[in-house]
Amino acid sequence: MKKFILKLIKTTLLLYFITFGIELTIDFYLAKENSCNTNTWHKIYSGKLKTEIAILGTSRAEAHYDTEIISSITGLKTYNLGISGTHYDFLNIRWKSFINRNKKPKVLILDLDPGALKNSTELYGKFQYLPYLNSAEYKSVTKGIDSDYLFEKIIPLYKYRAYEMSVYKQLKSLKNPKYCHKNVNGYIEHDISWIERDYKKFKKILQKDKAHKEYDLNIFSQGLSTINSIIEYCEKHNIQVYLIWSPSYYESHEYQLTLKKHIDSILKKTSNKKHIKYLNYSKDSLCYDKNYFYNSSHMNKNGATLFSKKVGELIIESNILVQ
Amino acid sequence: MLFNSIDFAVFLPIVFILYWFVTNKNLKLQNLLIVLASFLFYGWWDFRFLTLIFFSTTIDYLIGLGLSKEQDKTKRKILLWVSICFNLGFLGFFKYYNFFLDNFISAFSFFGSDIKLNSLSIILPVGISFYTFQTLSYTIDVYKGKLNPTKDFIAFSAFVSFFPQLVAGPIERATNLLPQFYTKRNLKYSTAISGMRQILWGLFKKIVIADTCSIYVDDIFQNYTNYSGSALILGAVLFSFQIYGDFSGYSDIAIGTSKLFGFNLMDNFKTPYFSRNIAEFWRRWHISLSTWFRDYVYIPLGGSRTSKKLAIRNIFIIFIVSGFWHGANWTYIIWGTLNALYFLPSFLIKKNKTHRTPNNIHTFLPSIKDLIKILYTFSLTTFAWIFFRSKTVFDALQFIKGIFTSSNFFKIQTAKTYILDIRPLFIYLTFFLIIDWYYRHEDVVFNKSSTSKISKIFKYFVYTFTVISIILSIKNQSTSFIYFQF
Repeated sequence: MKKFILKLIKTTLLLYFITFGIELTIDFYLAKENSCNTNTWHKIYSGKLKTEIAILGTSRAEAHYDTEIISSITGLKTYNLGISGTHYDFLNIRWKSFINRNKKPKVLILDLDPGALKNSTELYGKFQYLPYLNSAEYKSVTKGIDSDYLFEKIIPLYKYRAYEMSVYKQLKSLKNPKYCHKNVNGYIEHDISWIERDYKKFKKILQKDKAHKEYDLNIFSQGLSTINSIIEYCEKHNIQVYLIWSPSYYESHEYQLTLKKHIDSILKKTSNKKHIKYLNYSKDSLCYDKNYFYNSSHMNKNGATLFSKKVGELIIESNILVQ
Repeated sequence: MLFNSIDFAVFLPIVFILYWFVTNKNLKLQNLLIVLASFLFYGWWDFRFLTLIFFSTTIDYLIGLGLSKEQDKTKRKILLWVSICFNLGFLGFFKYYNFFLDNFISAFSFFGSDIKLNSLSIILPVGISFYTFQTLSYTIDVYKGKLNPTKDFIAFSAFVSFFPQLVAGPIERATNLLPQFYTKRNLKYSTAISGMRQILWGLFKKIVIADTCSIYVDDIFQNYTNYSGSALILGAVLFSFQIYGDFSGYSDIAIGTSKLFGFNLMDNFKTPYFSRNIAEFWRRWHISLSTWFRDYVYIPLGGSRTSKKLAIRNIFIIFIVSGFWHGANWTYIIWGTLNALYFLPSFLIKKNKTHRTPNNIHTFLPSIKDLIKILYTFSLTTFAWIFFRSKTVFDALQFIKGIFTSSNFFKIQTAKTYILDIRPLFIYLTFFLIIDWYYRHEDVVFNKSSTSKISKIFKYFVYTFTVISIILSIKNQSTSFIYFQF
């Protein structure tokens, strides 16, 4: 019995240290500056992100604001902090990590994604946060929602489960950038068009939504309060805020229409109260051309290029910035 | 309680400590601990199930005692039939009541008369088919005089409810397992290590192979009309691995856990997918059930030592009953019939007893001839699994039709594979097959004695890979085992 228990402990410890060593190695390489997934995180956590215009939002922000174009028009350093699939309550992880460690921007473009205002019940695409799960911002924002956090801390490699290929691609990307999406200061270029099969699926979803008109607006409380807290922070620190509802394909406008109208009225009130610019592009001419989208709510490279020009010109035209 | 759950990870060490460090001086106390632990383990699903297992245990215990006292042949036979009727009655009611009712109604409506009978909403107690067969083996063996009936109710309860194999086998014979409850158990170092290895490999099979395959299999079988022929073949092949990983993984954990408590259970799987014909496959797949049917159904019917006509009838009976044992659905009956049809040619040309030794015992790689036979046998079993996995016979036929008629045969793009990369699964499957093949002559994987440093390092490399694969494949929720439903 004694021999067995000793062997069991010895083997368990050995395997624990091996797997722990592997985890540390992966963490180390994923946190490298040239890893495409954690490129932005690396800049944020090392305090190297010096930008004058910061763009904050979900995957829509990530895909819609071409930093190069905005930068060339405004002459200001621009960085896109958009993070995919993130509800606004979780957007605080990125926002707080950024402002706590880096120089404050002059302008904040807060991209609005009505689909992401819902209170989070789970964390989407956790891989985007790896290997930075130990940050204070991550812990405080996801407390009570990320139920795996403790296990992921105790069991080595557990946080990488089901991400074998993502880790592989990230590690490969260190030497070969072809494994990454084109990423220019956080802007992810999607040089693709909307495939017919996905378009048909989208039409089916629209059909289903027609029967569903009522929404519980209370479930958006956390998202809206996050927006308010960001605005208040910017107000205090003299950061100019633009609330922008970027384009989505016109056929999707009917989708969750009641909800959208409600959110729009809240945002209008907020902008009036706080004297900030609120621009709703959801009925812009861009919305009526399918060629500018790769799905109903995301513009492709063509759409993003035109839209980014509009945003850049808007900033110049509004003549808010004092050089 | 599932083997692949946190609950079990807490439960097992507690029971292990109590068993070896608290109750180790008293055999009765150890058996009582097993009974209590087993009832807790079983009641974790639904405490109401406990009444059924308790009732079944009590009846067979009393009938066993009755058989020991009774000398009159007719009365002994009555006692045996009482046990069979009770056990199969329970099984029939919980598992087959609605099936027979539905078919009854369909048959009547086919002949033009509509009858109205209400089906019942019955919860199928987990593992009922397994412990029913186990207790039946006790009564039959006592009746046949192969086993002395036990007077120790605790030992008998422990035998029926022994938690490692209670819900999905191996279906133990009373002659093998029951006597182990009468003797003092020791934990030998080699047995305990072998048990741990088997548990580790069982977890790999379940979590890495079965659960990962199931993501693709469920999607492909549920939406088979959307997929190309090659994707459907991929789904069927992955299901073959899923069911093997799931069920043999469970058996490995059960046998390994039993070893930790000083018990020796029978083997249930011996690398079945390396079989060279269907007869060999059935000697290596779900051995405890196959031998149960052989000993208690096939041989009493006359087996093969009868006229050819009757022998063929017996083969069909045993395979169809085996199919029906899996569930109240025509799909299982067709699955059983297909296997009988596969088996028949080798029986007729008297080749069903070939390949009794493991594949290519002295060489690492199989010969080309054997490889072809292995692939052929695997294809046949995979084809039969389509019926086993499909919800209805219609679905199975449409699935098969889809393989041959779908356009874009070679387009493997599926909804799930679009989101999830299937490549890690292929790496795991390759590793799984290599290990399964390498240790095909051993009872337990990783059990080859290694003396050289290189082989020890290699062994630890394999352990590490296994552990990492398990960690990386854990799903957010523990998944149930397929065979729990049977």
